Amino acid sequence: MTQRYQPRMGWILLLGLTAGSLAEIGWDPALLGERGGRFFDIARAMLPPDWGFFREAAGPLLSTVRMSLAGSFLGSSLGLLGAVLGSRWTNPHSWIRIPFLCAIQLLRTVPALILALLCTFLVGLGSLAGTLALTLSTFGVMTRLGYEDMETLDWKTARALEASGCGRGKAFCRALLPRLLPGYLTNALYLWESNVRQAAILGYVGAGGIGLLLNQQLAWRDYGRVGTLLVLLYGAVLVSESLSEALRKVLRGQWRLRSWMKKGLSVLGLLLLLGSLGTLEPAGNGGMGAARAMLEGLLEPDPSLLFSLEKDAVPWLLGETFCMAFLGTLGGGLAAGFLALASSFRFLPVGAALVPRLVLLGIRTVPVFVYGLMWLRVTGPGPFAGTLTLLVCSIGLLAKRFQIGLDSTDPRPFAASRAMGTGWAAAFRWTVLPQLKKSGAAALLYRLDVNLREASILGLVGAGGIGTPLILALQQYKWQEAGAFLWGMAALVLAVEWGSERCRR
Amino acid sequence: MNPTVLELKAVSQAYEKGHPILQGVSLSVPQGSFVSLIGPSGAGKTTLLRLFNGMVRPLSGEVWVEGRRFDTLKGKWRRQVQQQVGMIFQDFCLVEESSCLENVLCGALGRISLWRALWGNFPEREVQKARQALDLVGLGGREDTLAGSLSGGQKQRVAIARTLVQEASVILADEPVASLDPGTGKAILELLRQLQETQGLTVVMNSHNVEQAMAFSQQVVGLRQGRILFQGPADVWDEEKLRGLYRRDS
Repeated sequence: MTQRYQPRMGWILLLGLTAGSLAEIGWDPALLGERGGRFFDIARAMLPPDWGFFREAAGPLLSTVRMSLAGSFLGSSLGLLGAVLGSRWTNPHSWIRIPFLCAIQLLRTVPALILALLCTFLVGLGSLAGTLALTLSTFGVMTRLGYEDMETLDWKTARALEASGCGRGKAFCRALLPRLLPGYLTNALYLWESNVRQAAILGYVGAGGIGLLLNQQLAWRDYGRVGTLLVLLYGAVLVSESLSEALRKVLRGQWRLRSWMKKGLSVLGLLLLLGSLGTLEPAGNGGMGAARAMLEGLLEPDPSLLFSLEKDAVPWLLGETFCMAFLGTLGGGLAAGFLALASSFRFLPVGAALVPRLVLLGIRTVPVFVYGLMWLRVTGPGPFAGTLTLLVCSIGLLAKRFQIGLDSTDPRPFAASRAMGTGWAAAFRWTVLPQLKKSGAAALLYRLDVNLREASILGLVGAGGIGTPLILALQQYKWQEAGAFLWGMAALVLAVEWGSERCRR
Repeated sequence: MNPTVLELKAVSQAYEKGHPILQGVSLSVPQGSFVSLIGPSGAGKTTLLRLFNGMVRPLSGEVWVEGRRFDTLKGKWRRQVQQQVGMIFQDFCLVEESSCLENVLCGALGRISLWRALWGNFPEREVQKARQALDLVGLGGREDTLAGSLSGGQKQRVAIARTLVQEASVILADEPVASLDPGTGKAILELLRQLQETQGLTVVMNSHNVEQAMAFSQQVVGLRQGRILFQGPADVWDEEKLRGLYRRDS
């Protein structure tokens, strides 16, 4: 096939996939038109928030932030060790490295919420389970990012040091670590931001934090209190994102701190972390029996579910999950593109961009299953609600990625094009969009990957996909069934990751 | 005497209060001429150049382009004038992720409809023009090469081709060879002079290299501390005038 026809084939494939996915999830625009207003029923009921509930909710919110801090810190620290273990240069023993990397890949396919549910069986209900889940999920991601970064580093200096007889460990610490750390810490800060939001939903499965309270208030339909919890979460997300942004600027050298400020910041950080490690205190029952049962289930998944073509078996559910994630990513990407532009400080005045920016932060704050419940009122249970939920969730996070991309584009070609008498839209299309092509596509592919995992969280509220039967199986201790669903999820996530990698290349 | 194509009338500009960049500058550029602006760093050369394509607006005074008062124009009237003024930048201002042809076609965006521009559906004649412009600057056959993978000299050639496709009657060249090696720089300046001579374009260039400015220009304008110190044909500039232009303030 010639290059000329490749883009056209790409569009045809995309359209075909979209049409097929719309049919699969039961897309019904008439239903949206007729009952779309109900989406805001819950939102309206949240106003005004019940401010009297503020004091009661502050404790669990603090616990959520502590869980996110402890999980991010432990996961990132272990991730650095994992990266060393996974890199060819620091660990030449392929018999250790390859199985380790396979295990990391599998770990990354399991969403934090499912990890949290599994941890509650192991260590009992409470924030220890949540912290462990966040630690494991951060460990998986940071190990992968760490060893990928290490593979792209220039090893000449380290090799020269090693050749001079200083030993591989010292060569790593002197020549590679200083170059690896800024990028690694930047990624750790991004993950911390995401962990604050993740920690807020772990309570839904009993893993501590504000999620437990949120679950209760949603179940009791006390939406005024739900509103209070969301306002608190909004504040926590705003503070964590601003703090993380400021720290990233320090890491990138954009902000220079005096040495006493650096010392003060380090001491403060250390105190915060030590305080957060209190979330590691065991609180409930669990143990080896549960671990053994889980492991047996995972190693002997139910074959009747894995290989059947029935609608309640793994292949069909995976197809449905993929369609939900694909449409959610596509729709969310389109909306996020417009919103990212409307909130870009580079292309709009700060005053005009600030409001869309705060709206986007608000969209990002609301936990995925709250959106799920809101859409359920419009469409009823099923994959249609799940797709719309993933779409809205994708908007918040994709818009942020696009925003970062937009703010880091080279503005000079745009200014030059405008000075040639080109209109704003045409200049943007030809001078800015080409710069965003790669990072935008990478963000979409990454989001598809995340949406596949989030689809399993939506099972909690009955919004379609493989999540509902997976969570039911876990809650009913049907480990063989859960094993089949988890292996299916892992296969789907890995297949999509492989496809994404091919697309990137 | 050719008619005036670019004109400044008592133009002043400042980016910060109390630090004027240009102070009551008046200048006329005849059509089809090659004019160079020289002077020490911070003299206001780039700002002066950017007044003519609207990248900078004057605080006071008037800017005239092709007989039209330009600084007060807005919207499509302003864009119409801007389409007549092309600019070559020291740092090229190319989209590195796009091909040479796509970069050159950006010069035609002002002429085609918005929908064609958004869909990337350029009329065949524009594509032909872009190919011819690339041929003219010696980059025929490199249409699909990504701009980011070109050398500095080649990038500047793409930028010149983009200006040609713009069909501008004026080319503003802001230090066009400052980031190039001497050989490539000379070739680029020869290309600019060839375009001025064969296509009747007006070229206004600012340069730190006095020898090059003298060798290629018909008129040389000396700027110092936001004022025009001296202007005239290259051959009337002498050592004393240049020393006065570049002297250090104690």
